[in-house]
Amino acid sequence: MLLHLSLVVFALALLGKAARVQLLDGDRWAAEAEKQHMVVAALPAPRGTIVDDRGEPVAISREVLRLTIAPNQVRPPSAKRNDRDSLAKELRALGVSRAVIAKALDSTRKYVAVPGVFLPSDARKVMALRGVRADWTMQRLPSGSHGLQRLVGALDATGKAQSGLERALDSLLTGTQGERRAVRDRRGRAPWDSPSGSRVNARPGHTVQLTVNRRLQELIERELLDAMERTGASGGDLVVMDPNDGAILALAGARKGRIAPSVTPLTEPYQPGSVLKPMFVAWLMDQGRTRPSEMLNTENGSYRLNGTTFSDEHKEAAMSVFDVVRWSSNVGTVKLVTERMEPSEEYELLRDYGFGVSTGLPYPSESRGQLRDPSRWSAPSAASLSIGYELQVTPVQLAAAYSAIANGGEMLEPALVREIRTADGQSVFRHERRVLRRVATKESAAEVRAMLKAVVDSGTGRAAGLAAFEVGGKSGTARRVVNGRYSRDDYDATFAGMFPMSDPQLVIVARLIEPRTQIFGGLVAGPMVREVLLGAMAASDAALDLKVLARVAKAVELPSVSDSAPPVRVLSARDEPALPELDAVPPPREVAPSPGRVVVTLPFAAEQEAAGPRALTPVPSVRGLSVREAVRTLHAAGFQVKLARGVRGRTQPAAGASAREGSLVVLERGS
Amino acid sequence: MVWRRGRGFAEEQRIVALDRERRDLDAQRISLEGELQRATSADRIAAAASRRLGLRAPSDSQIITLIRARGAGATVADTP
Repeated sequence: MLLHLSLVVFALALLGKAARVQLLDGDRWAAEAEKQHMVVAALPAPRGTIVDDRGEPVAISREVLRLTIAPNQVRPPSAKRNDRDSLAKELRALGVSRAVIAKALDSTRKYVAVPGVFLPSDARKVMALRGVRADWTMQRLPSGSHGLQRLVGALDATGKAQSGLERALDSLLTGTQGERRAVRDRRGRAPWDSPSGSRVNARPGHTVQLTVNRRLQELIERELLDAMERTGASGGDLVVMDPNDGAILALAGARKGRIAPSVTPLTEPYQPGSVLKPMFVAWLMDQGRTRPSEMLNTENGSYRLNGTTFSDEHKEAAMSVFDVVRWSSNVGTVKLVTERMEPSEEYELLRDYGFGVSTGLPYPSESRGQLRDPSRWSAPSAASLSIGYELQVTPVQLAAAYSAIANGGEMLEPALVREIRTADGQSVFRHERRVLRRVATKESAAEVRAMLKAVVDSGTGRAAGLAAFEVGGKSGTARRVVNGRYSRDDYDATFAGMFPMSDPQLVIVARLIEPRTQIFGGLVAGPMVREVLLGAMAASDAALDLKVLARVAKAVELPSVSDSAPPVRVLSARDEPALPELDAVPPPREVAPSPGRVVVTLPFAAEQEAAGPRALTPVPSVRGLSVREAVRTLHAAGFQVKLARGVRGRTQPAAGASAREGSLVVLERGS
Repeated sequence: MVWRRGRGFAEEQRIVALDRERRDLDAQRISLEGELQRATSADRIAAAASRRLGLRAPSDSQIITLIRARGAGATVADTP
């Protein structure tokens, strides 16, 4: 009886427990089982790619591996295999330091993180070893020149945007994480996308296409560094803009001999000097308050106003308004502006050209420059502003202002981003030409362009000129402020140019800080504009319409060349180091076999006999040719050449004498 | 059912392996494209051409633009 009772109680307890597990705690246990059986992991979303104007990546994300090692789990050496040796060998092949390898082999350690990231293909062998764990991670790979990388900015180690466009456009570049749920197999491994699991794919970030042209960017960076070396300048900035749609095609800054760590043409404003003069002249012409041919008293180049003396480099008693711009007359400009413009008009004009306001470009630390309200001006402020002092502008603001003059008077919104597309290619933003306001009429803009052309043809900017194309521009030379005072020794030299003048395709602003060889903008920054233009024309993909250039190029008469002409002397000096190479005996000429059948008679005759004696050829006259040309001429006639000192251009055998082809001719190259 | 499930896992593991291989190749492609960009940069080529061959940038009057005529070969534009 007792036994039966015990069995009944046990059965009831069993039923009760079963009912509790099934009915009361069923959901909890089901969830627990699911948790043990399934694995859920986040799928990282690739960050959007940043590409240049031609679609080539400037910053792109790729999946790489981070390696961690559990030294105490690495198989101990056995007779068949030695995993510790293999591990050391593979880590060495990956470029891991000796110190880290030593830690990885120390079996008393539980965990060693290998610094750096690795391509899966490189890490495949080490990943196969026991105790090595590999985790996928995203790596942002920058490419392109240093300046372009500064503009794009960087991410920190956790993938968070830190600077540049990466930071400004972070919300667009960041994708949406996905999720994967999978069933574990009997060993606990979790094959993703299992039929029993589910997956929500990550959505990559948007692709951002910049307006920056890689070729131009490389060109300006090289020119910046070259110009700093040429002039001894401590820094410089260069900006290239398309004046017809406001797109910034290239921008870079350099400080202390290298590309600056930030994009200084956007972040560091300065007092630009005379490059602002054309804007005042355009406005005064539009208001009917002056005309290009009006003569002004320029006071023999020295004029005192409100306790400040303004002086000209090019001193004249009187000048036309046209020449005031051409020769960058401070006296003429100060008189024009202070006598014919109200301070409020001057202020509004400068604001209209975009000075003192942000350009709206997506760059986090862009400076808006500095332009004080007229209520805070001092007595000389109106005059100082007219010649580019008492305000600060960025080179990008200057480029935008000159673009307005280049395109006929329309102030355009500058752009760094050409297009933004979703990962599946759908365009969500496209830069289009946007006119902010009209700052000059077409007529006055054309008049000012003619003045800017004269600046380069015959004024202060001649060093920016090209032989076959018309370039326009304006120079500016401004004292720098050092310790709160205008320095007597340190200058900012600027040249703002446009090209070609018939229908400008590029506006280029070049600035050098503290140049030492010369201080004038036309002399030191003008050549920078010229060099950038030459490089852009020589490249096929530097954002220039070469068809238009071919149409507008001027015919150039090439000068006749004599031995004593400076270019020839320059070339001779250049060739001098290469002369030993020219001394070398040229390789024998190869006789090209003629096509068709070759009949050989055996026994085979010696090659020399078969070839027969070489033909006699007259030695050509090489008098008047450069050494290089003379050597080429003699080689072309079939002779070998040896250089010797003597009478320049004389040969042994003498010109006209016959010599066997392939024989040696001594060329005398002067004493 | 056990066989079917086992088969499913095996197929999934193959897919996972292929996916890893794809990601690996993608990463390599990006690396190689970066190297190609660096190798073909004008900066590098211009420096090498100047150093090794003594070449220099042409002046504007030495540049002749060839413009492809419509439906024909190249023609020399009337540049100087």
